[in-house]
Amino acid sequence: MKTLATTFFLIIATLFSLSAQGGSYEKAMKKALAEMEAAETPEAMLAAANTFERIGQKATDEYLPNYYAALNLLNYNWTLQDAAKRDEVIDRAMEQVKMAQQLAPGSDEVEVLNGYALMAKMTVDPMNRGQSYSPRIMQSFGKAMAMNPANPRAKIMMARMEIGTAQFMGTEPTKACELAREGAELLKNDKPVDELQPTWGMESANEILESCAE
Amino acid sequence: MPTTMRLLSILFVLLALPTWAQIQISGTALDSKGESIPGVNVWIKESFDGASTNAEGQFSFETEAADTLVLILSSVGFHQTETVLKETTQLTITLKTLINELNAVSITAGTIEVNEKATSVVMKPLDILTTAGALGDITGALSTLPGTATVGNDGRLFVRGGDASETAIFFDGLRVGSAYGSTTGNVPTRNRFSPVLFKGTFFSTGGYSAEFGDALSSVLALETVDRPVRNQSDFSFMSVGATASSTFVGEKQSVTAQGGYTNLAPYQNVVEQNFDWEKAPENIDGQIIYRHDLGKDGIIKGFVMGSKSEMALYQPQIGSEDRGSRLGIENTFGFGNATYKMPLNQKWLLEGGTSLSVNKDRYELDTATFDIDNNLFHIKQQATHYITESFKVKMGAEVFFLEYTETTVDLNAERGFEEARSSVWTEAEWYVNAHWTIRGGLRGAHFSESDANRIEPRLAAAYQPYENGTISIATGRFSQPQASSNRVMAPGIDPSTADHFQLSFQHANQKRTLRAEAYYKVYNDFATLEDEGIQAAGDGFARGFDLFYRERSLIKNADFWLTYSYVDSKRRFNLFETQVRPSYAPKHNFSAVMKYWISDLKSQVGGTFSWNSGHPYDSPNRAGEMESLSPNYASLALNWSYLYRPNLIIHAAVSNAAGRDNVFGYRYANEPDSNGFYESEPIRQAAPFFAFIGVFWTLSSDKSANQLNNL
Repeated sequence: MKTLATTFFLIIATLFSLSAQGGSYEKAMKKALAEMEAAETPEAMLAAANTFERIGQKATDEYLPNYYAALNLLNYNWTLQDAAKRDEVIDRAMEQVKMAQQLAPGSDEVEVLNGYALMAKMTVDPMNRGQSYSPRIMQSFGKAMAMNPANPRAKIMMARMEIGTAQFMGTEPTKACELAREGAELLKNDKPVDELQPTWGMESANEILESCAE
Repeated sequence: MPTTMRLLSILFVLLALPTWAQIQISGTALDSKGESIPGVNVWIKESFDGASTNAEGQFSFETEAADTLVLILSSVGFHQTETVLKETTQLTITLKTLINELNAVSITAGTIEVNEKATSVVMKPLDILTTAGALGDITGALSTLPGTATVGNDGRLFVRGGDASETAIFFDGLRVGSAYGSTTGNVPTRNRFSPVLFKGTFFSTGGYSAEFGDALSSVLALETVDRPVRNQSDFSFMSVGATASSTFVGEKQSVTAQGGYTNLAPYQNVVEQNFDWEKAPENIDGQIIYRHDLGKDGIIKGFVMGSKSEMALYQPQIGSEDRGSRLGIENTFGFGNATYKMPLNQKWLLEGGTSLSVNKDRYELDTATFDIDNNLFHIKQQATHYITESFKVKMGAEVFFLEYTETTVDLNAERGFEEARSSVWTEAEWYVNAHWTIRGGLRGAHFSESDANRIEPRLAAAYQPYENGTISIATGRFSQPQASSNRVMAPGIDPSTADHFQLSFQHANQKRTLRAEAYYKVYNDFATLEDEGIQAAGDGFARGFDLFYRERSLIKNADFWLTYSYVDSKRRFNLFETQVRPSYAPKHNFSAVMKYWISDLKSQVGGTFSWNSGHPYDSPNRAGEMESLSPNYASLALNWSYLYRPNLIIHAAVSNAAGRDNVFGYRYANEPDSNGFYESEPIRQAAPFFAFIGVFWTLSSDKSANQLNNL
C-alpha cells in the first residue's frame, strides 16, 4: 500500500510541477490581462505596462508580453500632458514594439501596434510632425491590412487616420466610416485562437461610428 | 479509507507548498534627492514576481524563497538597479537619474535648433516653409529670429553686427562655398538650397562648438532627410517658373531627383519695377540625392547640384539722362558632397565626408568683363566617444583647399591665390547632473597662405534653475580668413579673430517660449587700407541683446512670435579711418510673425512684419564717416495657403504688401557740383512689392500626401 501511495504521489507531483511550469506564463499573462482590463487610472495603466514588461524579461520567446507592454504604455501616454514626457513614454513603447517585431516577424498585430505608436508620436506635435509621420502611419496600417485582411484593428486604426484627414480637409468621411464598420464587424465575429490574443479596438470603432452617425 | 485520506492530505500539502515557500518583498524607491518615485517596475530577476511602486514609491509583493534573490528596479528616466537581497522587507532603494543627451539641460546661449523634437521651441521645420515673406527661403525665415538683422536689399543672413560672410553654412556637416545665389546691384539673393531637403537646422548666433571654425559670427548647419518614406512626385507651377521632383524608395536606399526653372521676365512685364532691367533674373538648376543604409544604424549620403543663372540691369548715373551703367552677372555653380555616419558600437560614432563647391561669376560692368572663380574643397572626419551616458568627447580634423582667381577678361589679366587650411579639434560635453551641463573645447587651425596658427578655446555651460528655465553662457575665440578680394591684393595677410561672450535666459514649454540674451564681441585684425597697403589692422566690437517671445496657445489656431534685437556695433575696416557702424547693422530690429489656420476655408494665412531703425551710410556732403542714417525700414508680408485637395495646394504671397518705398542708403555722384555738393540718388527696393502665386501638386500612392511643407 505504501509503495502504491508513494508511486501515486510521485506521479501527481511530476504532473503538477510540469503543468505549473508550462502554465505559469499563461497564468501570469491572464492575470496581467485582467489587470489591464481593470486599469482606469494612469498609474494603473503604467503598472499594467510594467507587469507585461516583467513577463517579457522572463518569457523571452514570447512576443505578446512586449506587445501588451507597448499597448499599455501607449494607453498611459494619452493621459499625460507634458510633451517631452509623452515622447519618452512613447519611445519606450517603440522599444517594446521593436522587440515584439524581432520575436514575431511578419505579425500583422505587431504592425498595427507599430502604426499606433507612430500615431501617438505624431499627436505630440501634429502641426510639425504630421507631414513626416502620417505617411509612415498610413504605410504601417496598410501593410497590416495587406498581411491579414481580416485584422479588425488594422481597419479601425486606418479609419482613425482617415477620419482625421477628412475632418482636417472638411470632406465626407465615407472611407473612414466604411473601414470602421468593417473593422467593428470583424471584431464582433472575431474568435481569437486563445485568450491571450489582442481583442481591443471596439471603443475606437464605436467612437468613429458615432461621429459618422452625426 | 485511510489510504485515500492520506493521499488527499499529501495532495493538499502539495498544493499548499508554493504558498509555504512564499516570502514578502517590500520597500520604497527613492530618487537621489530622497523623494519617492511612483510607477517604478520592481521584480525578482528571472521570475514573474514583481510589482509597480504606488504613489508613495512603495512596493510589496511575494516571491518564492531562494538562496539568492536579485531585485531589479526599472523606470523611465532612471538607471536600472540590481540588488542582491539580504533583507527582504523595508528596503530602501535609490535610483540614479539617467542624464543623457535627450534629457540633459541644453546650452541655449546663441543656439537655435530647428527640428521636430519637442525640445525645439523657437522654430520648427514647418515654420521655415510657412513664414510669410520668406517665400520658402531658409535665410528669409531665420531672419525673423533673435540676433539677426533684416537687410532688405541683400537677402543674406546678418548676425549680431557681423557681415554676411561671417556666417558659415554647412550641408550635412560640410562647408558650402557660395551658398547664396550670385547677385548684383542691390537685388536681394536667396539661399541656394530648398528647405524641403532638410530635416533639421542648427543655427548658432555665437559661442558655437569647436567643431566649427572659419566663421567670425555665426554657423548655419543644415542636415538632410535620412530616409524618405515613400515614392512620390511633386510638381509646382508658379508665376515665376516650375519645379519637378521625384523620390524613389527602396529597401535600403532611396534617390531623389529635382529640377527647376525660374524666370522673372513675364512677371516683370506685368508688374511695374523700380529697377531698369535688361535681363530679368533667370535660373535653372538640378540636383540628385542618394542615400544608402550602412549597417543597422549608419547611413551614406551623396548629393550633387548644378545651377546656372543670369541677370542684367541698368543703374542710373547721377546727372545723366540715359540708362546709366549696365551691371550684369552670370553664375555657374556646382556642389557635391558625400558623407557617412556610422555608429561603431554603443560607445563610438564615426562621421565625416568630403565636399566640393565650384562657383564661377562673370560680372559685366558696362563694357568691362571680370570673371571670379571660387572653388572650395573640404574633407572632414569626426569621432565621438560616449564614455558614459553623461560624458562624451568629440575629436576631429578637417582640411580646406581654396582656389580663388580674378580675371579681367579683356586684358586677359589674371590674379589669384591658393590655400590649404587644416584644423583639429576636441571637445568634451558633460551632463553633470539634472541641472548642469558643461561643454569645453579647443580648436587649432593652420592657415597655409599666411602661415598663421590659431588656438581657439571654447566654453559653454547651462544651468536649470527650475523645470522650464535655462540660464546659459557661451564664450570662445573664433577666426576667419580675410575676404578673398582683399587677400588677392595682400598675400600672406593674417585672418581676423573675434571673442564672444554671451549670457542667455530661456523659459520654454509647449505653449510659450521666452528668451533673452545679452552678448559682447570683440573683433581684431580686420583688413584695412594703411599706408603700407592692405593690413590686418582693423578692430571693432558688437554688443547688444535679443528678446524673443513665441506663443502657441493664446489664440485658438494661431501661433505668433515677436523678436527684438538691439545691436551696438562699430568696426574699423576696409577704407574707414575710424570705427564706424556698418550699413548692415541697424541698431534696432523688430519682427512679428503670425500664422493662423482657418479650418472652414481649409486655409492657413500668415503675416510677417519686419522693421529696423535704418541703415547707416556715408554721405560725402557731411563730415565724418558713416555719419548718416537711412529712414526706418518697414515691410509687411502676407501669405495664404489653400488646400484645394489633400494633394493640391494653392499658395499666394505678397511681400511688402503695403508698398512702402524703403530706402537703404544713397548713391552719390563721383564729382561735386559747382557748389561743392554731391548729388545723390536713393538706393531703393527692386520693386514696390512682390506678388507670387503657385500651384503645388503631389502624386504618390498615399493620396493625402501634399506639399504643405514645400511652401
